[in-house]
Amino acid sequence: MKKYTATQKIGLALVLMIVGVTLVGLFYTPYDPNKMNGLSKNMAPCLEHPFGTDNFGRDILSRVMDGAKTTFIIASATVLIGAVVGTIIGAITGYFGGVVDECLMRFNDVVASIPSILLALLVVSILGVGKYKIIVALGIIFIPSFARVTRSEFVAQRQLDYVKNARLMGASHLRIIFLHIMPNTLPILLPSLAIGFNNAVLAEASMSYLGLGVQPPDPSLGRMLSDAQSFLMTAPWYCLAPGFTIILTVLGFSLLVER
Amino acid sequence: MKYLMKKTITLILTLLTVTFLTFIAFEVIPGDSATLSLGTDATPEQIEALREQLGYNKPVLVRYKDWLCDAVKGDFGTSMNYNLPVGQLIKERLPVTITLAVLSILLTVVCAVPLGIVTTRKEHSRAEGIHQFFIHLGMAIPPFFLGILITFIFGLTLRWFVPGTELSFSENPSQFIYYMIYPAIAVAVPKVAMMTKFLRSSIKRQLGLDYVRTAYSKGGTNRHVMYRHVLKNALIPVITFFAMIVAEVFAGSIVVEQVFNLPGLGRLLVTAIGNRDYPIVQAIVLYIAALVILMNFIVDVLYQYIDPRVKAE
Repeated sequence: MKKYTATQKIGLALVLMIVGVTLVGLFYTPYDPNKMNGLSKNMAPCLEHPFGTDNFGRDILSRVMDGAKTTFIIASATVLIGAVVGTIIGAITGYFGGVVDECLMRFNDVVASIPSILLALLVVSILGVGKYKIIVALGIIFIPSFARVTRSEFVAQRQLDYVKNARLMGASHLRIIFLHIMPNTLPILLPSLAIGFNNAVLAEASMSYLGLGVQPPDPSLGRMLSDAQSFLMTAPWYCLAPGFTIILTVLGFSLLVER
Repeated sequence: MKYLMKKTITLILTLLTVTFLTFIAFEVIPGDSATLSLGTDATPEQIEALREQLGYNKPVLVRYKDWLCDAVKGDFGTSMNYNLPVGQLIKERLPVTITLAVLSILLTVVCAVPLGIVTTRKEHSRAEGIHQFFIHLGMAIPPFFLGILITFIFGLTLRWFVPGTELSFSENPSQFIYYMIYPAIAVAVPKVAMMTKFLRSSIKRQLGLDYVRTAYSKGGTNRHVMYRHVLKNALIPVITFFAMIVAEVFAGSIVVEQVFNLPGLGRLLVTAIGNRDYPIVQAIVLYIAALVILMNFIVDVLYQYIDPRVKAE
């Protein structure tokens, strides 16, 4: 077992905390996240409502737990799409090389030159808004980065002796790609999964903040922040819980995978 | 010269691909603007006539060529929602976005370079973990949340600025720039963290090289070695990274404009997506992408003057 640095330990603690609270949120929230209560509008944090209540009297803690769930599901699905498709494209083009590889990488450079949120907005404006559409939109824009990482690893690995040996022993190309080289790319791939997850959380939050992501009544951290902004004068604490949930999640994952 | 030629050809190919992508993306949407603008009551003949008039019946490549030729001249068609030329709508909003981007980039460079140098000096020190923590914290803050916090702290509590004021550059330049500093901070903080991180690793890589040992053995002080020798080499890779920062700054400003209610391209884009006003979306995506691609090109060209090794390759 390798030793963890202090920053990695902090990261691990943050990740465990956030993931733990979100898992609890799947089965139990202190209040019904969507239940409105006219008597407890815009309440400041207190014992019954640790993060206060919003403009409809809904408990912010329960809503953050529920919103974090939505955000994490979207981010995971996004990374899954990006990683699976990107890895396969990167693996095949990196392993075989040639004209297709060259063309795809040029295309990759082009896509990389467009700011990712702009690309996501472009896809959303074509598909329309909604939970599943944002997964598709973000999933598509995450493909190139995974393809790039995997490809560069495959280019480096394909000339190593163990690949030649496997070839001599009669292993097929597909077997070499997925059973021999792929496991060796994991040390690079796993951190980029975490980074991808972080970027997806931030992107989803931005899109939902702009009103182009998750639609109400589904709670989402970005959407909550956009609502909170209108009540900055009367209920400044509203924005803190969703905002810091995003920050702590992203911070946790990025500290955890920091070398 | 050969290097410049190669880069120019790449530039043109990249621009062509981006324009084609943005064009074709809106071709796959079911229903065209003829059906949209006439509504459901229109007879098939009316739709057909308008389609003919708008040129929808020509082959895709011909229309791409026409659209591209118009776009180069700055004509992006007419907005369906505002009933104004898209080019004019963009021109009105461009100064806001450009000011915000330039301010953010300036802030990023002014903060990140000293931070990168200062925090790398003492290696293996106890402060290392703390530096790392704060860099990651900076990268974890979503710009729009920072914008909300800034609005609350500096706008509503300290009253240093009035959130939501509408200012224009031509009427009151100094006030306008002062107001823009706040959104620029919100955009810049995550980028400062990113760039500091990159610069630190770049400096660290240089510190392990032989010439640094030589410089020290010739009696150079820490300061001398850092500023005279290491920094020159360490900043070179940062220049390529800078092009990425530019793209990120534009992405960040799209969202932050919304927070501070700035009448820039970002807000126009978000409204246009809500209204399904495709010519505007198309034009803005193209505008920002072209800006970023051009910046990349300029950086690439500058690069060979700064680092002659690039030309030799």
